Amino acid sequence: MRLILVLFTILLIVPIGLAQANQMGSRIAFLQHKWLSGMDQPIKSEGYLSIYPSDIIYWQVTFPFETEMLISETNIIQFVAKEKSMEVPISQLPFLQSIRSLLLTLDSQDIKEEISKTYQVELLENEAGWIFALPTQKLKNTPFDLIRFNGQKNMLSSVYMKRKTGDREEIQFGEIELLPLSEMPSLPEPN
Amino acid sequence: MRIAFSIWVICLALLSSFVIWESRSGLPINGDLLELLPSDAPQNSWKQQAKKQIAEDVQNRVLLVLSHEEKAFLLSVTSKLLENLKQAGLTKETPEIHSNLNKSTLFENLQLYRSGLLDVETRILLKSGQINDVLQQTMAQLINPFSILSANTVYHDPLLLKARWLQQLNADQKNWNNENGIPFLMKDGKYHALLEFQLSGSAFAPEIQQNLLPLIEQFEAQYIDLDLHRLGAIFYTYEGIEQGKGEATILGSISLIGVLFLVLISFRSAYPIFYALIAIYTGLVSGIAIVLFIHEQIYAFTLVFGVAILGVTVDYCFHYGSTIFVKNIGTTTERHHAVNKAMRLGMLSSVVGFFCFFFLPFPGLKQIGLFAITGLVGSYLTVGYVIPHLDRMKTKSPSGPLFILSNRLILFWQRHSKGHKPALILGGAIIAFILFIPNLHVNDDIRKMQSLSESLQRQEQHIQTLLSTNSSHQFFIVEGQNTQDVLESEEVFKPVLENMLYRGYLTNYMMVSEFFPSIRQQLEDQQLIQEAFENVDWSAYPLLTKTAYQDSLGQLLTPKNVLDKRLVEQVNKQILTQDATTSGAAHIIRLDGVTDIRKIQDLMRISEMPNVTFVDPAGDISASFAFYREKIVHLLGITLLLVTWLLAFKYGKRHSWRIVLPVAIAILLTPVLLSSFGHGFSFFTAVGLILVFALGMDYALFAAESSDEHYPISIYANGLSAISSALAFGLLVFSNHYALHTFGLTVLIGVTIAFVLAPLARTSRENI
Repeated sequence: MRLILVLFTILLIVPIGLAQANQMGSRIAFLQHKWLSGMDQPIKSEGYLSIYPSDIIYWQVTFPFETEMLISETNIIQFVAKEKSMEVPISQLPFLQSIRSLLLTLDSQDIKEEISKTYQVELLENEAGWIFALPTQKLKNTPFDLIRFNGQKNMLSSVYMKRKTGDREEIQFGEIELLPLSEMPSLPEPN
Repeated sequence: MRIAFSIWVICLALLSSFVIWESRSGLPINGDLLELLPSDAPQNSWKQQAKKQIAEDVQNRVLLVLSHEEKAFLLSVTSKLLENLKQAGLTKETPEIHSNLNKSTLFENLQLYRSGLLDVETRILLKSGQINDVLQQTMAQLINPFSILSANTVYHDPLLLKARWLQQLNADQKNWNNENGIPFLMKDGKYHALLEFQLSGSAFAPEIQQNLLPLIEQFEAQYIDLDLHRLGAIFYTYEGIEQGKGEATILGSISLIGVLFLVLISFRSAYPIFYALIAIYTGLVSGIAIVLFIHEQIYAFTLVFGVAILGVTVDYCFHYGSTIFVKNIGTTTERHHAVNKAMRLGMLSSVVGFFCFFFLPFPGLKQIGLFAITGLVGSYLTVGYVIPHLDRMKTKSPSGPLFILSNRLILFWQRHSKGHKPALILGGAIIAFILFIPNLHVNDDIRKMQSLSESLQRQEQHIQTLLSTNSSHQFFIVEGQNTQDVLESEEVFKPVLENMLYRGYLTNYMMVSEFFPSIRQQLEDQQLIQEAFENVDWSAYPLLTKTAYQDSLGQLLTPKNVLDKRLVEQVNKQILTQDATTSGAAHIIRLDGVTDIRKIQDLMRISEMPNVTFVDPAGDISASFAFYREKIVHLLGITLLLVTWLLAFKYGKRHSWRIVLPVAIAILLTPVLLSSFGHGFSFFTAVGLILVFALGMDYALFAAESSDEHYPISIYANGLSAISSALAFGLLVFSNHYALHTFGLTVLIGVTIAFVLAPLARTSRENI
């Protein structure tokens, strides 16, 4: 009887474990330079971008100080020193929905195809890599004049954004790490 | 008799014409319960104004939440519903999304006043010297790649005061998104879209109800896979009316059929019904006419209870009609004389009771008193001087089960009315009263009297959960010498409100100073920023400057400076307007999710804020119910004593007590018996007791006044009256409305006791 119970428990636990093991997330290191109008030197920051199977994007800055950001389907929440400092509905930043969709394709098998399919545009490609400019005129209330993506093969290597105010920023991405959920960074609590 | 009849016809024609003339655009009925209750003293007229302002705002507000799995479909369907509502002219103005959602656009011109707009958290950080923490948060914003912050914004507002201010105002609505003016959110696998609007007319107006409800029902039928939840007074009112109509049809029909059947089998003639209708009609027209002549409008409450009290006049017809069963009685005039003494005494004792109502400073009771006295006198005169003239009934011999039962009651009392038995019965009643009195409890809480639709309550809860709000009817009033004084008082009171939030007594509050801080607060905040800036190492923040707020120093935000008038309109709902009865200024603080009224009241007592008043409209109504209940009980007591004293002139001291005794026992025992069954003694019990008094006095007087020959017939007529009262009022026991149910139960129990004990009045006379 006990043997049956043990076997039954194993049969129950193994598929759950396997299912959990199949849940993978992605983690990408980034380096950001921001040029603000009126300043000679850019503000430099670095950290990790993590994408969870639940389509949550976790933007974690480790330098010059720790700050974190969660981007969900509905909200963007910023944390400074582990404390929530700002929460804004995505609806107030309509352009962010497009950028979020694009970031979510970062861990796809073929990012080029995903981008072509999503935005129905051809990527410019040569031996050095590929380049794709997000059609900002199609985005609602965007503060950007230009959003450009650079990549090599199936990897996104950098994003360049120029704002209407004249501020500019470039984010360079490292290699994508596919990690099981248990090894992904724990998300900060929104409340 | 002929002259009296002619005068009656002329008077009735005149009174009817007057009522018809006054009702040419509908009978001027005032359904406002608050006006019926004792008005507040003049110094509290801010309270009256605030109650009215909030009631109007809340009553005519409608919230609809539509839910579906597909966002695009949901938003398109919601827009369509909105369009249909607009086309039907049901919305007062272009429906706005939930009011707090658009504040960012409402404050387009905030930039100039930014240094005076500190949110609480930033103020605390600056006061405690933590300005670097605030600046670091700004830097975090700045390096955020998705931030809409520009170098220019940060240059002019390094503390991001404007954004923090807006965020504080938006705090409760952060989960709602907005697309094409339709707010929506995703929850539990579904999208939910919100429509909020003010009705173009009153929620109580039948034409608005008849337009809105079918439109929504039709819409639901068209989109069956769409969930629609609704919230608004109009839905509760409509449900209440429909339920009332259903009850009125069923209970009214049973009552009518029952009374008709009772009359037909008892009198073997339909004439008594005809006479009763004439008597009631005369009483009703007389009562309405005199009330309209003096007050110009009649409270719905007066009409309902006044008509119920006029039910007593049916008894006069029964007593007069039952004289056909007395042997050797001659003309209709002789028949009238046989019952007139008791009828007159019964009428006078009721009039004495209702006359006491005039000595109370309460409009509701005064009007009921006036209506009842006029109606009773009118009906009495009709039965006495008109019906004998119309009477075509012939003498008959009594028969039937009711006659047998009334004779058994007479026999019972004949056996038990001698010696010490009456005293024993009285002692038994006293013991029963003492035994039951520990169960006596009162119920004046109007919240416990409501029988709201469960389906609508579920929908309301669903919407409140989605909105994370739970609008309460309670609020605070802050008074002051002028607007700035009130704003400053609100700011002083804010920590008390925060304490209430912290303790969970409420979930949110909204006050004018959140939108427009007092000038003193704005100047203090500007000073605080200047002082905090002195301690910053600006070399650590190369982009930020010490002079960032220079242009906004001395600039002060007031409602006049706000360009977008929608915000001013919204805030205006919380600002009370000075009138002839008020002086100074006053604001309302709206509350959400009030959970513990008593704790709030306790906290207010120790907070030492004499210019802040907590208002609980439902509590005020409950308190007024309690007050009226007590007054009615006092009046009943005084009336019983007064009637006993007056009867003593005719019957002597001892006998007069015994005539009043049956009705006194009924009045004392009914509330304690009701309490034993779990029905607290409420205002509606007290009103029922008035009717018990009027009917019970009649039963006792008819028993006491009858001649030996007529006595069995009087008891028989009393029985008819008691059964017809049970059919008319007792059936209300089955009503879902607390007021009607309690009233019905009180009359049923009270009248039964009064009827059974009534023969004590007569048998006592035989003993003296």
